[in-house]
Amino acid sequence: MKIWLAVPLLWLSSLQLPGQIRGHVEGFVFDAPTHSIRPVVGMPGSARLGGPIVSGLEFGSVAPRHSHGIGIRDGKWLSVSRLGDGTESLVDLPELPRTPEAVAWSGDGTVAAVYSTRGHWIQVVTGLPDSPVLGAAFEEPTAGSIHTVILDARGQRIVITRSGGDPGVFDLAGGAPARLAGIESAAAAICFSASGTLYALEGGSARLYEIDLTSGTVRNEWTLDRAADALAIRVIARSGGRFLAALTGGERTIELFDLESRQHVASIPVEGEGTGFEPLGKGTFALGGRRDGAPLWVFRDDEAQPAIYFVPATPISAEEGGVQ
Amino acid sequence: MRTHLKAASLALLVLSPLCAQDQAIFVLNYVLATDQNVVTLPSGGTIVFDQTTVGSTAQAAFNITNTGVGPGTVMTMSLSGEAFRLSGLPLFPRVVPARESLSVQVIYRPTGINVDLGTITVAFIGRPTVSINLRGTGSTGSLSYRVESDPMIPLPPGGTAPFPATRVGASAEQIIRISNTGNAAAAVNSILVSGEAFALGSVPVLPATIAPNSSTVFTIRFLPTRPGTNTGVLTINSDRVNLAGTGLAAELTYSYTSGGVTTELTPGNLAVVFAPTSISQSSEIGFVVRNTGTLATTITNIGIGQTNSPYAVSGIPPLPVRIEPGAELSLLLRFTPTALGFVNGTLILDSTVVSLSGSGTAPPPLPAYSFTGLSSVAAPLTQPRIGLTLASPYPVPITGTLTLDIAAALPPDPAVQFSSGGRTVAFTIPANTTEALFAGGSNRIGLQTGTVASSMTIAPTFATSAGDVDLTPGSPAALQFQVASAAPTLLTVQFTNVSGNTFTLEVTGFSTPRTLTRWNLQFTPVSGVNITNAQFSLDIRQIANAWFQRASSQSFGGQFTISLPLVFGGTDLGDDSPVSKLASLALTIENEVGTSNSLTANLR
Repeated sequence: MKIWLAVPLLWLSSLQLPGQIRGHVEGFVFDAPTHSIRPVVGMPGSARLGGPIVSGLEFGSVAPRHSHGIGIRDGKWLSVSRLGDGTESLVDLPELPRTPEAVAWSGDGTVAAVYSTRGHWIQVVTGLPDSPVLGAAFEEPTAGSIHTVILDARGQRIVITRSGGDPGVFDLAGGAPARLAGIESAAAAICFSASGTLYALEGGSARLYEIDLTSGTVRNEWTLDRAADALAIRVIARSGGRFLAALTGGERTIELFDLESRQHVASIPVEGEGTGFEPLGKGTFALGGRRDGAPLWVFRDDEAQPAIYFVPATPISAEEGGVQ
Repeated sequence: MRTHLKAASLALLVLSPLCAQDQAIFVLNYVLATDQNVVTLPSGGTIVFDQTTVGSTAQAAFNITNTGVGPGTVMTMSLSGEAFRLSGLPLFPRVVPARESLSVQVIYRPTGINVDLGTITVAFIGRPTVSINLRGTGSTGSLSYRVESDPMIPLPPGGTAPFPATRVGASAEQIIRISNTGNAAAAVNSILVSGEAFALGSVPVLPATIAPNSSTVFTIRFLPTRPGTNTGVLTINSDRVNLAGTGLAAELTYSYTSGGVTTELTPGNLAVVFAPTSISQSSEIGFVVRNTGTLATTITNIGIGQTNSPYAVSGIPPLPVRIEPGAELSLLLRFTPTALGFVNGTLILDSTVVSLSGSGTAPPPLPAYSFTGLSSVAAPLTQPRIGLTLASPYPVPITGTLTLDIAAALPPDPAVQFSSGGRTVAFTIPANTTEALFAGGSNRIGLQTGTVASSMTIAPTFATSAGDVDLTPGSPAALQFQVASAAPTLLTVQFTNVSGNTFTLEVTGFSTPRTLTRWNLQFTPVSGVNITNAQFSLDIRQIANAWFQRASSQSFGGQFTISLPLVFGGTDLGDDSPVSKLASLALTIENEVGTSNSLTANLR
């Protein structure tokens, strides 16, 4: 008896010939020295800050890995969208009562928390970029100051670190700061993982807390050697697992840790003045803004060889203008 | 006054009538020139001259008249007495006819302020010798001078009238008395003062006559114009008296020593001149401030008048500094030129400004230099750090720039920049070091090589930091390197728009010749699934050319992101989608030079 077995067969039925070619833009950043939003043109290693897309901004911030942002021009808030496609759109934002110093974004770029470390306040803006609405506002006691603000992927959870009086890590979900994990250190770096797990690295002790915000409990905690003076941390997803990158202030390195094995896996020297991890492109992070005359420094989490790249800022005179 | 009585003899004239000679009768008389009165001279008589001013003469006619009827003969006539002399004497013996006279002149010149005596002795033939006495009195006015101080100071001609020490700018006064100590009135015709520090004060109306034993006064003012001894001369008629006074003030003089030669600065030309000095070198000059005055003085402020001056002063003591009379202050002036040619400056000592002048000459030539961190061939999409090093230290700070030029048949890649942005970057080389330092003090500057095949040159310029004196060699050595034309390099691959039977393949990479010719795709199904066209190639030359020839593509150099939507079909896949039966794909892209690296992407 002969048994016939059907062998699954696969074929390429069509391709839309011949495809498309375009240039690569790694992302967009607010470039404080030129008061403009500029694209990072090209791949890190051969990238540059291109001509201003939106200029004349007193302050600005671009949603990480998105093509929209917010800014202040002539004292008024703007929502800027469709960056880089030649049809940039500027929309007035609801009037914000005060001038912030920083912006924290949700992972999806729809929620921004503008805040002032000196002014002890946070104002949430939702519906970005197209339907901005003022959201919750938080006032901090003047005894302490806001150090860091982070939002989860959708902007539903806001966690802050506070220095000065009553330092620590706090969840603002309930409308009032709720201390997390018993961390009372003034220097703490925090970040969300893609799944919403909060990581808090206590300064000094280098104790890393993995916190389940749903329950408010510490899931795991351990000590990260080499990261006692971390300025910022970031969870990085790789094919091989999840890793935590810590930007250190003293040695000027990025220390990479395997979150599963809890082992230190790499140390990458940092040039320039890194202050944080600002997601830029796929697997790339701007290490803070740049100073006049200095490049933008970008960390590329290449799984084979993570590296730091400079992104030179082409002099504006050599570049095109941008939306005024 | 001295009066000298000198002995004189007077012979008595006796007239004798013994012969023809005897018929002569001689009568003697004299006539003073001053009054023309004829005065008979008796035997032993005296010719008395009026008082005569010393230095002048008086004259009397001495007449021997023959009043007889016959001639008489004067044998001789002689005179004694140094103040007198005879004039108009005839040859003797001399016959004096009757009724005629023999007349001679007696001239009196006083020997001094005294009585002068003399005798005229006349001898006759046949008659007794006769002596006539002579008497004259010298007279003069005699001026003497003194300072009316306490005690009074006599001022003989040639003496010195002292004045009190007086501050420069102030004045002092002395009274001078003129007295006539002679026996005649004296005239003061002129009173003159010379010497810049002296001036006449109140002066009598001139000419003035001062009676014997009388006096008059006048004043002289002392106005010293400089510290130290001030001198002058007082001239009264022809008498000269020295004037002397001390001016009180500090007086600073300045000198400098250069090359072993000391130059004293004159008040109208306070200038220090340095010898020509090479840029990178210094010249030093010792500068001395000396108090040649009579009072101590204080200098409150010393310094160079200009900021960023090539001149410097050192050795300044704690200020204010007091300089005693005769003391000095030594300073050190240094000239360190930073620019070619003359440059002026000033040294300021309170209100005194000393000009400083010097010239900078060419600095020493730049040592050889070399680049580090980059060879003649640079990999694309890299960021080497380059440095510049001198073969030996240079003595002054250097500033310079590196300028990157691109030579290529292809559009230059705008990503080719220094890390500081742009294609020029400034550097400095501190004095006496060798390494160029870039922004932030780093001895390396990042350079992005880009993704376009090209030849690049980095040429430096050098100049002195302070004076911007060009140090760039005539043919500066440049760093030349190239990014080679090579096969494409694929960097990332990702899938987008994934659905059951389709997804879009998106590949990012670069091609240094800015060309692409072909895709090569290799699909690997999951185990147990066959695929009919597991490997295929696709000519992409046309779309690649279209892209790379587009002006907008030049912003990206040789980079590209190429996307390819793929649709799959299948049979006997059960409930699974075709895409779910793909395990992975591998791809390469070709250009004229070769085939890229292979990227493999897992779909599961």
